[in-house]
Amino acid sequence: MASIWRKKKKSHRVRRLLNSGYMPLSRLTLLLARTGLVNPFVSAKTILPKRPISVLSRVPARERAACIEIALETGRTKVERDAARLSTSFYSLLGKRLRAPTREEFKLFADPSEAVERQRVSYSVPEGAYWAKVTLKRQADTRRIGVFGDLRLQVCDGAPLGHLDHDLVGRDRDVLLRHLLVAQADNNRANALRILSRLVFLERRTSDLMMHRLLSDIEEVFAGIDEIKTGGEGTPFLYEGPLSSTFTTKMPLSKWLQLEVPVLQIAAKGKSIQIGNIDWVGPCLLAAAKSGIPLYGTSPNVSVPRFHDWIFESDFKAIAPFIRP
Amino acid sequence: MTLARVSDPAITDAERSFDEACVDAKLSLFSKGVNLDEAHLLAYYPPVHRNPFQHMLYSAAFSQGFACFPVRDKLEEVGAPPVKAPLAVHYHWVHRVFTGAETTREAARQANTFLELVDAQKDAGLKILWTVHNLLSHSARFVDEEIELRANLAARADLVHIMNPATVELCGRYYELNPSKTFMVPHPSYFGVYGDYIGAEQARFDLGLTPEDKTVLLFGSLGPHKGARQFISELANLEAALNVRLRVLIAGQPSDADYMEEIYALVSDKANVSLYERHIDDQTVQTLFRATDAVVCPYDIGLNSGVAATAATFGRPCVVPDILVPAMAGMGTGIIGFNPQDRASLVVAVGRALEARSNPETEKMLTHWAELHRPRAISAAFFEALRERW
Repeated sequence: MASIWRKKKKSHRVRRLLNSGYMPLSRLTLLLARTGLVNPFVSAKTILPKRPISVLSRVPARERAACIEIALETGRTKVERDAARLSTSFYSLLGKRLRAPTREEFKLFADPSEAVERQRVSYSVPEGAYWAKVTLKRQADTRRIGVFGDLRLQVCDGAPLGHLDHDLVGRDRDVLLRHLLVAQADNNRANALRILSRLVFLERRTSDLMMHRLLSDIEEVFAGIDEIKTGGEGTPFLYEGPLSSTFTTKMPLSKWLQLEVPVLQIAAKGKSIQIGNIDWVGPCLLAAAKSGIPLYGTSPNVSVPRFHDWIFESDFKAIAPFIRP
Repeated sequence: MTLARVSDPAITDAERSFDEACVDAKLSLFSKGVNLDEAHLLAYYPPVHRNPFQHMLYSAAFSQGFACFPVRDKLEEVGAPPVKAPLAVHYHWVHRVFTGAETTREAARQANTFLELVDAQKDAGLKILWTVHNLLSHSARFVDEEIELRANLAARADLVHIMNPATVELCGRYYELNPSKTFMVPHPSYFGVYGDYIGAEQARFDLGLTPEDKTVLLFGSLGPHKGARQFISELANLEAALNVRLRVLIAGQPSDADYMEEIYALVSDKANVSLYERHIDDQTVQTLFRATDAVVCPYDIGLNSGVAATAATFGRPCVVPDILVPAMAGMGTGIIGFNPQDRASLVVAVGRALEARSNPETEKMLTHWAELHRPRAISAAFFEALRERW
C-alpha cells in the first residue's frame, strides 16, 4: 500500500514539472549531450536526467571573471536545497587541466514552480584557460529536477549593486561579497553580519562560518565593555604590547582578552597603565578596559591605528571618548 | 601550499584557525592550572578519525601540561604560535603527503613542498616530532619517493617516537633513523576505547558460531598488504596440517576494488569463511573479537599492530609477523610470531594460538597487559618522555 502511495506522490511531482513546461530529454538530445558539445538546457525547459550532463565550451575571451546562470525547479512545494551540483574544470587550449582559483563544485537550490529564481554561479577563470567543462548532476536522493539555463560560461556584467535588503534574499554569492566590501568600507559591521548570515544560510562554507563567528565576537566584546577608566596616578606600568599572546585577526578577540587580562592584572601589580607601543594601542586599550585598570593621566594622549579589518575607530570612540584621530 | 584534505572533519575537530587553536590551547591549560611556563602545545598532522590512535595517544595530554590539536589541511598555517608557549608539530602517517599525486614526479614535488614547510617550521623554532608507524606505508604507491621523504623527515625531526624497539634497525634497510633522537613508548591497548559488554557466548551466537567452532579473525582494512588473500589461499592446507575445521571471520573496510574481486572469488566456495567488508563500528568490534578464538595478522611486514593490541584488550591471542613480537612485550604466550617467508611457521603459530586460547591463563595475562597499557597510562608515558627530551 505504501509503495502505491509513493508512486502516486512521485508522479504528482512529475506532473507539476510537466505542467510547468519541462520535458524529458529525447534520446537523440541525450545522446548528443553525452558528447559534451551540446547544451541540452539552453533552448528548452528540461527534466534533468539521472546521469550528469557535461558541456564543454570556450571560456569568454580575455575575461578573468565569468559566470553561469541557471534555474532549477522542483516538483515539491518547498525549496529543495542541494538539489543538483554544478562543477567546473578549466583546461588550456591543448587540454591540460588547470587548477581553478575558486572552488569547483556548487550546490544549487531547486525552487517550487511559483518562485523559480535564476541562480548565478561566479568563477575566477584561471590564467591560460581556454576551455571550461561544466557538469550538472542531480543529487542521488532528489528526484525530477527541471532545469532551464545555459551551461556555457558567460561574461558577467558588472551591474551596479542593488539595495542590500533586496540582494539579501537572493543567492548570488558574488553580489553578496560585493556588499560585504561595501560594508567594510562603510565601517558597518552590522550589515556585514547580515550578509555573512545569508552566506552561511546558503552554503554553510567554513570560511563564512568562521568570519561570521569572528565578527559576532567583536560585536559582543564591544557591547559588553565598559568605558575605559582614566586618571591613574603614581608610576604607571608601561604596557608595551601583548603579554600573553600576539593578537591576530584569525582569533576571536574575546579569547585573546581572556588570555591577556589576567596576565596584565598580575603584571600591573595595582598600578595604572601607560600604553607604550603605538602598534598595539587598540588591543592594549581593550585589555585595559576589560581589566578595569585605569590609564595613567586624566586625558591620555592616544590614537588608535587600524589593527583589524573589522574593528573601527568608531568602536573605540564609544569606550574611550578621549582618543584622537 | 594547500595539501589535499586527508580525512573528513570530525565533530571533535573544531573549525578554527591555527592562531585560535593556540589561544584555546593556552586558555585550557590555564584553566587546568598548568603553570604558564610549563604549558606546551602540540599540533598533529594528519588527523585520522576512524582510527582512535591519536585520541588514545593524547588522552593524558592536559594532565601533563600539553594541549594537542589537529592540523586539518592548512599545514602552511603552522608556524610560530601567537601565544608564548613552545610548540611541536607531530607528524604521523606522512605518506598522506602524496594524496592526489598521479605520477612519481608529482609525488616528488609534493614531498619537496612538504619538506619546505617542515624546514620553515624548524626555522620558526618549532620542534619536529615524528611517530614511525610503519617501515613504509602499507599501500605505498611511490616507494622510492616515500623512502626519500622518510629519510628527509628523519633527518629534520628533533624527536622520533617509536613503538617497536627494533624500529631503528628495521628502518635501516630503507632509511636512517638516528637512535639518539628516538624514544620508545609502546602502542596503547584499547582498554576502555571500544564497547565491551557482550560475552563470548552471546557474540558467537550472534555470528552464528557454535560453541565448538574454532574461529580465527582477520581484522582491519582489506588491502593487498594485509595478507588475507594468501591466508585464504592457504586455508585448506592450514586446516589439514592442524587437523581442524576453522571458521574464519574477515572484517574490515575494503581499500582496493581489484583486490576485493580476488577476495570475493577466493571466498565464494568457502562456506566457513565469513566476509564483513565494511567499516566495523566501535560497538561491533567486541562481537568479532569476543567471538574469536585467535586473531591472525598474516602481514608480510609491520612495526606495530593496533589489531594485536585490540586482540589483547579482548583477551584473545594473536599471530603476528616475528618483527612485531618485540613491540608487544609483556603479552607472553598470547602473542605468537611467524616468519612471513616461511609459511609453515604460520601453521605452527595458528596452532599455538588456538592452544593458548584453551588455557584460561592466556586471557588473564592479555587482559593484564591491556590494563597496564591502557591509553591514559601510555599517553602519560609518552608526554613524560617528550618533556624529558624537549
